[in-house]
Amino acid sequence: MIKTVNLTKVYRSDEVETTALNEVNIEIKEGEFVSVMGPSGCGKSTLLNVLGMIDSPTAGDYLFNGQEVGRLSESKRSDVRKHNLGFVFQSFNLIDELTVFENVELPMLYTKVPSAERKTRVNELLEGMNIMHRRNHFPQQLSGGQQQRVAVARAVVNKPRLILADEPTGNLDSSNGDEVMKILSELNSTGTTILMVTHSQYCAEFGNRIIRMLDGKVVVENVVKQYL
Amino acid sequence: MLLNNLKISWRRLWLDKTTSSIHIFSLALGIASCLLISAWIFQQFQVDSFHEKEDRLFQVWENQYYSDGTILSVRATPGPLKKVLEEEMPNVAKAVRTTWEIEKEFRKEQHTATTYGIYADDGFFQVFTFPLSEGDANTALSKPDHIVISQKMADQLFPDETAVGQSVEIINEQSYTVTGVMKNIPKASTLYFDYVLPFKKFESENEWLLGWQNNGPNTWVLLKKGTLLTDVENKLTTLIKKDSRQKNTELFLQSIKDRYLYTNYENGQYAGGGRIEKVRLFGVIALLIFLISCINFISLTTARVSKRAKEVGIRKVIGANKRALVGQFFTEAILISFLALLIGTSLLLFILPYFNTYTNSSIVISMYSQETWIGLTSVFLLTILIAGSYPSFVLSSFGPLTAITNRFKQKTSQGLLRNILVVGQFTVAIALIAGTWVVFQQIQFLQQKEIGFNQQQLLYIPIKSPELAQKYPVLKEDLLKIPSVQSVSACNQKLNDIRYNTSGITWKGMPPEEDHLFTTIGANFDFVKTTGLSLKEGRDFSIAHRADSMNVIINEAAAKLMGMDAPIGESLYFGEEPAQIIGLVKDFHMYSLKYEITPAVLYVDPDLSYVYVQVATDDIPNTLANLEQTFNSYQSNFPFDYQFADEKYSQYYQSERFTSQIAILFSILALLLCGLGVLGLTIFSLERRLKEIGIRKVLGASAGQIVGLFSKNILQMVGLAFFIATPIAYYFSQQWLEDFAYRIEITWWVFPVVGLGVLLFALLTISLHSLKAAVASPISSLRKE
Repeated sequence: MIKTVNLTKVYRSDEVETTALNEVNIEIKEGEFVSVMGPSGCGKSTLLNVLGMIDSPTAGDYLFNGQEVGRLSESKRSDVRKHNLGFVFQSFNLIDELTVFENVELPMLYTKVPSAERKTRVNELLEGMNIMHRRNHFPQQLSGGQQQRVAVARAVVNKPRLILADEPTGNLDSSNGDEVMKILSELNSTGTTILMVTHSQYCAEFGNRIIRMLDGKVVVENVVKQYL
Repeated sequence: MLLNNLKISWRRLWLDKTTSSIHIFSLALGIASCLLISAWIFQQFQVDSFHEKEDRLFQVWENQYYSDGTILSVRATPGPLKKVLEEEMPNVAKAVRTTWEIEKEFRKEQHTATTYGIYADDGFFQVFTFPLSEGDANTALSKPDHIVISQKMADQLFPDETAVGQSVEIINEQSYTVTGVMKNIPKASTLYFDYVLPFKKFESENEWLLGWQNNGPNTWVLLKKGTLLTDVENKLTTLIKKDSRQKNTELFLQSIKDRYLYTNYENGQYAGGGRIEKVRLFGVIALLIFLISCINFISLTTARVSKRAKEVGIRKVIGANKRALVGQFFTEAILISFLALLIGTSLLLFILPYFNTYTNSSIVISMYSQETWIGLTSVFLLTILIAGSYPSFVLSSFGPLTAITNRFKQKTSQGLLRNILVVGQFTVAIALIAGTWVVFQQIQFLQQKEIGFNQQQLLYIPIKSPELAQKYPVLKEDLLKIPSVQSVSACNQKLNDIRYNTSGITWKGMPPEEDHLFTTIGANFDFVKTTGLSLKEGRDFSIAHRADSMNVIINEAAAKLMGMDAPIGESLYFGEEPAQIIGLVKDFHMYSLKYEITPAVLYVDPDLSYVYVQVATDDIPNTLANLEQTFNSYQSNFPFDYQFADEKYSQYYQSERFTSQIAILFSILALLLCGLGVLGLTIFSLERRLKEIGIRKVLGASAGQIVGLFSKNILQMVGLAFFIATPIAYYFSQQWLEDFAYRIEITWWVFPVVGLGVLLFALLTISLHSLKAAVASPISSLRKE
């Protein structure tokens, strides 16, 4: 599903040049649950952003489903994103002015899903995530765990093939963190590919494979459990 | 999607009530003023547009050439011109003459009416669109004893019966048969009258109309369809000179469509001024005010960029493309503009009566008229376009990652643009206020300037019956018996509204090829004493000098023109008739101060129109009652009427006062809008720099230093605006002042005082808000951050 060849990302400011990704070569197959670990500043979030097509590489190739997407224009990347990818962030990134229901519904507005179907899908997801009773609340009225469940619901509502999660449990306590990880595992078990950045070894082990990074490079790849 | 956009826009407005209020109220003020001035401008363009044949209807003007190079453009034309136009100009379908408006007293049994009307040729109702509700427009003025009256007059004189076919008496004249009742004249008409009498009647009573040498009536032509104006004007040039009809004159045509707005002719050419200048000026001011309010919207919205960036990022990450985001931000602009339009329109309808009273206007805005809705829609769309487009473009242009990770930094160009917009706002405000001040100073100057005679307690009392004119010497004696009456004289016109002039005056030594225009004033005995004119040499007209009916008094301008250093005892000639100069008065103003003082000749005229009474009293009501009683004993058929001379003088500056009142209103509005803009920007700046404030305070900054931090930028911007606004305001004020022959010198200190005032206002606005943050506990700022 994902293949990178010498993927490089360099950030330049007036005086400083920082290489966030240094010729990264990785491959992720459909249905995998891959965790990316490493110390702060090692480039794991940059890797997630480039693979999630919200940032573009400076050099190298990025093939998504066999198609080179690294050098696509923003509007084309946006098109690929909305039909194939779902995002879960550490800080939830819900829109404060929208209710739980509306936040989850929003991606379907951009993919022009009919109204009735949107309603059915949102309700099913909220039921599944056990937050149906909060459907008309605004994000500020929810706990962190609940907000992250809404974020996960929003990430999967368009049935993406790949979910990119950037430290999804980073702002949660352990019980809420566990819950989110279980949801991600369940999603993976239904065939959704997951790429997750985390600092937590515990969380990383929910995946099939762990990629460890240092100074913008992949240094080790561990298989946690056999991908079937 | 639209519903979602509307929902989120509404919630955003509701959640951030302070900013939303500033946004909406600021736009509403701009919209209200834009609509108000648009309505006024629309009304100005509507004047005279109701005539169905307006495209072919023209007024004849005459350029009179004088030997000193002066070219006088007048609407008064020779009486015989009408006939010649119809006979010798094949492109003229019809020509009609009209007189000036003349006041007459009507009586029908116990009903009376005093009103103004005109004499007009019998084609009048075919050329102009003044529809008759009763009577035949083709024959209504065909006989000398016919009269057409307005519906208003018919209601007064014939309250319960049909007017047509009945007779009505003009007091001291004769009876006329009503042959038509016309619908009341629309307010948007430059011709305003309540009756029309046949011109042939007027002609029969005024023989001077038969000759080419005198100008009096207005002449109008209706051209045949398809006629080229240039063809007609070319023929007109030779027409007037043919057979020595009039030598040094030329005729030209002005469309009735231009009659109201394009009135300023100087030296025979349209000089680009007139009412249209005021229309343009107010149009520009309204547009500037509207732009200031849109600038507020733009700068406040772009200032909020950092707050909105995260949302934009999230939307982009989950699939929104640029078009969807532009749509969303436009929806917000539409919602805000719509609310602003609602509030602005309500505000307008609320303030309109006050505005009309304050400016003595009669603007009507009907919510049922098509034009109102076209205006509202245009302003609405313009608001969305100006206020909505730039913010939508800016907000939707972030990269998703930059926005979502809060690594967003405002582009220097956006900050620069916002600064430019704010500087622009203050430039307009400073220029407007300084310009208003100059206008105000000039009006003060006009009202306070010594005009050369005592107009404070000088009364003009019209003589309405010929009998009274004959009994004037006895009336004068009776008037002088009233204790508060100091002096009495009479004149054929009002001294500060002189209308008569002649080029028929000569003097010894005058080169024969020259002709000069003199203002002529038909006065009476004790005229200098009564009016308070300043006698430089010689004496006043006096009943003790019987020969004074052949003598004249001149002003300094006349003495100068004739080259007479010691004019007393010299003679000048009215045609062949000699007149001795017995007095020289200092120059005095006979018209508005817009015009230069002209050479004037005062003579004793038996044809009296006004009794002049100089009163010396604080008890004006009692004096007026005594005067009324005395007058009524001589002309009981007419209501007592009077006007103070300074009242007449004051009427000249109605237009300037209107300009000044509008300018004051818009200056306040501009300042208010700038204040709202600065307030909004300060609120955002405070929110954005909350952490910085906390840190600075922890490190020891005082409240004053914190306030200074926010004031520095605005100080620079107002300073820059001052330097841009000053030359602009100076230039336009000077242009405006050039309309006046007598004007103030613009004082330099007006500009720094205005600049300083605006700066203090801005600083006060900032301080009031930033002081709250400056005195708050630093930990609260840091915790919030």
